[in-house]
Amino acid sequence: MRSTGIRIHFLHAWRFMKKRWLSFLLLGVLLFASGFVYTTMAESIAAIRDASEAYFEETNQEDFSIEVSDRLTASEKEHVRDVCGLQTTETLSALSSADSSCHEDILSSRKETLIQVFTGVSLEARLFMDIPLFRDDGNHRMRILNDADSINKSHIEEGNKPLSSGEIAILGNYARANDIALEDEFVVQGETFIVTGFVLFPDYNLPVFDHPFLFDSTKQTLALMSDEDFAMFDAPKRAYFAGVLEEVSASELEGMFDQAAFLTAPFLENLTLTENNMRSGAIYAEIEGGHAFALIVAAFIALLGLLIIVLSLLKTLRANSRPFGVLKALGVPDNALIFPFLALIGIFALLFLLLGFLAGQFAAHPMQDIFRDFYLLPEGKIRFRVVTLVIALALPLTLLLGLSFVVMKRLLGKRPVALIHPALTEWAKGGLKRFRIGSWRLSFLVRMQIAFIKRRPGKFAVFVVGLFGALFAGFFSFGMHDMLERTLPEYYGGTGIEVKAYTEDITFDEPAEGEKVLELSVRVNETNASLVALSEGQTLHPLKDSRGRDLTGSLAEGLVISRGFSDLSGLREGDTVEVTLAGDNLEMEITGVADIYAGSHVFATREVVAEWLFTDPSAYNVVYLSESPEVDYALLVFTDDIVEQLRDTHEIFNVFFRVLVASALFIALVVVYLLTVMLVEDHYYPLAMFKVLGYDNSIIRKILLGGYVKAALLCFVVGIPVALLAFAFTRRWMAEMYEFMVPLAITPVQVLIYFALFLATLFLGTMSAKRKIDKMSLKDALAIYQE
Amino acid sequence: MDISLKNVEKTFMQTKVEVAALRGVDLEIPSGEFVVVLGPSGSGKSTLLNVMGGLDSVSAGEISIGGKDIASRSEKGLLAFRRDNLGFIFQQYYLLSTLTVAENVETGAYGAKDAHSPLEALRMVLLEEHADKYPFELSGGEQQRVAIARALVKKPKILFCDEPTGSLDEKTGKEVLKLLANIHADLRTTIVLVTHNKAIASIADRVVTLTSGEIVADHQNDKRVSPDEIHWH
Repeated sequence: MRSTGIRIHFLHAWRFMKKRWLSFLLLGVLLFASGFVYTTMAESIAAIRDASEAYFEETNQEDFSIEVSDRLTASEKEHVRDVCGLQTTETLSALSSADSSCHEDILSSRKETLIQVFTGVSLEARLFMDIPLFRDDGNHRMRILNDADSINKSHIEEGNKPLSSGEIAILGNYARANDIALEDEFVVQGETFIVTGFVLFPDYNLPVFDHPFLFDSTKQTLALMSDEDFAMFDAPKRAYFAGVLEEVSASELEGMFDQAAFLTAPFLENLTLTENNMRSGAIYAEIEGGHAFALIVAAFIALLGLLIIVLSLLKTLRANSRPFGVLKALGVPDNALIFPFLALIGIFALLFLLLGFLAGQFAAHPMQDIFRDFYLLPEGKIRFRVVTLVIALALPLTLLLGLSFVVMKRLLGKRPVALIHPALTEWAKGGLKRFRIGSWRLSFLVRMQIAFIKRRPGKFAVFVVGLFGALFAGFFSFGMHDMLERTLPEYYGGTGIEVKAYTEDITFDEPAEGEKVLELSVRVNETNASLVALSEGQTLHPLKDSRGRDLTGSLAEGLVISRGFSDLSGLREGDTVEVTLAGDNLEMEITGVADIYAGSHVFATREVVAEWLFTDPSAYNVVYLSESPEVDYALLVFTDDIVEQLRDTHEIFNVFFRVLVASALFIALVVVYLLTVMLVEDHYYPLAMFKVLGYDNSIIRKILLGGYVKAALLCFVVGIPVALLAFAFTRRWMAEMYEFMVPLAITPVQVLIYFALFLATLFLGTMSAKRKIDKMSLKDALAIYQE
Repeated sequence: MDISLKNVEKTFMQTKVEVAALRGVDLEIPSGEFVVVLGPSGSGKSTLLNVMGGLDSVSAGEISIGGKDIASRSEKGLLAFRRDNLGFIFQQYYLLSTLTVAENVETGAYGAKDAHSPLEALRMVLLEEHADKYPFELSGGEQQRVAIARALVKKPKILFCDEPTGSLDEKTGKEVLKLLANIHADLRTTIVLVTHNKAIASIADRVVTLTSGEIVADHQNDKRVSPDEIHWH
């Protein structure tokens, strides 16, 4: 006969894998998932990144923006009164309607002052008008932006730029969601416009108008009009300044944002670098974070899969060490024994990783579309990238083969005689001796469980790490589930406010109906806040702390801050703070913390604030109403619309989080299934011996699996505080990054639901191992032992 | 191929104490001889077989097979030497459970220049009809015969057998011995068989007795008998 090659060893390796097809299929699913998740995310994000870079370059995206007070400073009021002849104008937006030329003067003056403060930059005023849209399916919102000259230039995705009066360009996303086509008529505040194009603005890659979580572009849109229409449109124009770094770096610019800056420019509110700005910079964090998230998730899944494969291999080699020892004695080299396993596992892993990679390439298209449903960015091209292939495929494959080779070489690299006659069996070496050491106080069952865990520390470690990782992902998803419900819906749900009616300027006349409120942007010490000054004796906006105690009394004595603002600023009850607005300061004591997560709200008594800022306790700029007003206001905001809009958005997120929880539990199921089945196979002989000794199946199950089940439950219990810590960390990170609080939290009910799901997963995952234990026969066990 | 051992020593460390398994062993086995190494448990006979077969290293002394020194060979060199010249049979059969009988036999022919076909090897051990069965479908004696076929398939010049009947009853044990005797008679393969069973010694050309790692007796067996005639202990 011709010399025999390693064909027969391939056959052995193949049959080994075939016999465990379900385990390998599940491992294949893990590898597929790893390749798929990474490729989908990496490719879609890369496409968006490339498209965004070109788009931001072309449109000259702002590097930073400067928020300025809408309230006029004392000197500005003097100018408005003396030069423009307007006696009662208090705000910049009111001035835009009253006298556009005077409005331009103030903006120019502010720009000049800002350029003195922030040297080495160029600035351009960004003007916008917020308009309610009354559509058939409810109330929508529109923010009309000016067509910028040099910074944040508009970008027409489709159609033409509106150049003539009566033309308008809106967001493509909004148009698609509302069946609006080019050339359609579009009514804004009673005026009819023709939609000439779909527009994008680089400073609004998330359409965040006021609340950071309100960015669903199906019910709110940005818009561009001709310069003529924009100037003439009857609505107050608010402003901020967009800036580009010319001769300074971002950190140098931040260094200029100090107390002196507020003294020179008292209208200054905030300076935000684009990367820290939700509306213009969230995409940067998404690109970075999304890529990192994909990498971590994919690496975690791949590593789990790889470790389980290596453990499985280790088990096979141990079981076959004696026959392999004989074959080595007969002159078969290590490589002939190792290579078939490596090659087959390599082909198997390559196949699933490649499938994951290819599926990911396809899925990257819809994934980019999902991104573009939220982010207002031009479409990027999904293309094959070598770096993605390397990370999604070559790296895990190399790791798998390298690790497998090292493990196999270490095991089979011994002399044949050491493989055929191991000095001591592992059981005798470790197991029985360890029953006694340090555990004499424990029951027999517990000692046995510990012994079985100690016998396979590698498998136990993979079990714990895999399960904990999966559980943690689930906890995090649960934490984000219904997260938005805890913001505005919970906030407005706790009040009797149905409509917020905004006046054009600070008003002093008594309103026809409703409760007078002052809503102003202020700084509390170093942090920006939304000041809501409520009238004494008002009833529509109750304030309660986390224990449900009424804080109305505290409001009369000082400043009540929201829980969200407290977490954001680190300020607590009893602290004395300085409230600043357009150069005016007021020292106040924090007298309570209201249980509100909606935003950076701080509350004060309207009369006190009105007296402080306008020397007239009757001043207000908003009226809170429990039903629609009978008189006209500059802007009406219906709280139900906002809540509905937010719920629409969070329903989409909730679906995503449910998928994440299901995926986490699936990974937990795979880990539990594979490792418990392997454990039974590892301990077939001692477990069969327990049967012979008269132990019934339930006790044997407890002996082998009990320790693992306890560890799994411990993972769940430990997962709770770890998740809470992670929530705290994430809240802090988001607060530092974007200056808003993410109300990540998990309720006891959610914990119970998750626990029930986890128990079901654990039960399903261990079912196969239990069945194997029940079916185990002494004859088979001895046959395996002999082999 | 002649086997020559000169002053072979083998020591082990056992819980920090040096234990001598072989002490100054001198042994010459001419090609084609059937030698039984006899000794009680712990006498060093398996160690002797392992060092002779290049499965284990020696602490001192020289071992040569066919005039080639094997004690100083590298692992790689030893592997090739074993592949080309030596066959092994152990007390346990150590067959691969995922492979059929014929496939298990084929594993033994790896890299052999002139091997039997697996069926030929199985015919020699009278198991041709079981070629497609899996090891668990065979009795202990049949599995040992498969192990013998696995060792024979590459036509080894020397066959080392470590307690090949240790796990078998008298009847199947004798069948295995008969097989070995036939192989020796038909192929003139050198056979070194290690056993504690004195009865088996009577089927060999020569009997070497080992006690505490030393050869205490070495004599030709003039009264060779057939395995059928021996009385099992």
